[in-house]
Amino acid sequence: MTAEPEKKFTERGNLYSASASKTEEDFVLGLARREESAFRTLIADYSQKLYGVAYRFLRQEEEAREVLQEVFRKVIEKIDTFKGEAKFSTWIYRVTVNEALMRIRSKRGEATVSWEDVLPRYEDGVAVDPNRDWTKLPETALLESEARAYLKECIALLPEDYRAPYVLKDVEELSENEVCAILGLDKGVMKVRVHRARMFLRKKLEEKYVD
Amino acid sequence: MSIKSKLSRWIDRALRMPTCEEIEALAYDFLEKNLDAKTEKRMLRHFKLCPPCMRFIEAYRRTRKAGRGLPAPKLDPAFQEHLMRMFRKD
Ligand SMILES: [Zn+2]
Repeated sequence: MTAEPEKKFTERGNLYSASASKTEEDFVLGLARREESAFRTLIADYSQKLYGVAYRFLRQEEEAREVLQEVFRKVIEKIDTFKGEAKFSTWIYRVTVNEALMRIRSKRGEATVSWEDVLPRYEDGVAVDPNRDWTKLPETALLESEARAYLKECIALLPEDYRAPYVLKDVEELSENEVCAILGLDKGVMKVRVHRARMFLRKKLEEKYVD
Repeated sequence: MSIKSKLSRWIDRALRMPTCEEIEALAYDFLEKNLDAKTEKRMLRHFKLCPPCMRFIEAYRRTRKAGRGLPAPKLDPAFQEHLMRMFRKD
C-alpha cells in the first residue's frame, strides 16, 4: 500500500479506505452482509455529513434526524440493489436530498425569487448599477456567527431547484460532477443555478452588510 | 483593406475584452478556475479597467466564501447509537 491511502485510512479512522474502488466494493459488500464494522464505518463517515445536508434543507433538527433515519433504513433495505453504477457516496447523497426535498414539498409552499430584482441590469453589455464596494467590509465579517445565521435564513428563501445545487456545491463543497450526479442535472444547468443562488445571496448580504 | 488595418482588426479581436455582461456570465467559471488562460487574462484586464466589475467579482467571491462549510448542528452521539441499534435489529 502506498503512503497516501494509509494516511487517509488514519484520518478517516475507519476500516475501509474509500480511496480505491476495490475498497468501496468491500465496504458495500460489508453492508450487504450486515457486518457491524461496515455499519460503524457508514455511521462514522456519513451520519454527520448527511445530517448537515438534511438540516440545511429543512432547518429543523428533529426533521433532519428523521430524514437521516429514513436514509439509513433505505440503505439497509436497498443495499442489495446498489449496483455500483454511481459511487456509493453519490447514491447516499441522492437518497438524502430526495428524502429532504420530499418533505419540503409536502409541507411548504415553494419559495419564489424575483430574479429581475437580483440579477444586474445591462445596457449594451455595460452594467447599469454601480456595484457596492465590499472591500470596506472586513474579510472575516461574513464568517461571524451572526452573519452565518443570516446567510442560513437567506438560503432557506431560495427555491429548492436553486437551493439544492447551491448547498451541495458551495456549502458542502462537492465537485461539479458529484453535484450533477446527485441531482441528475446537466453541468450547464447546475452552473446557472448555483450562479443565480450566489447572485441572490450576494444581494441579500449586500443589503444588510455593505453600505 | 491595407495589411496594417487588417492587422489592427485582428489585434482588436484577439485582445477584445469581454463586456460587463459577459463578465457576469463568466464569473462562476472564473471562480471555479474552469476558464482557459486566455479568457482568464481577458477578464483580469477587464477588471483593471472597470471598477464596477472589480467590485462585482469581489462581492461574488466573498459570497461564495461565506457559504463554505456553513456549520450545521452536531449530531448527538446517542442518535448515532440509535442508528447502530437499528442495523442490529434489522
Ligand atoms: Zn465591467
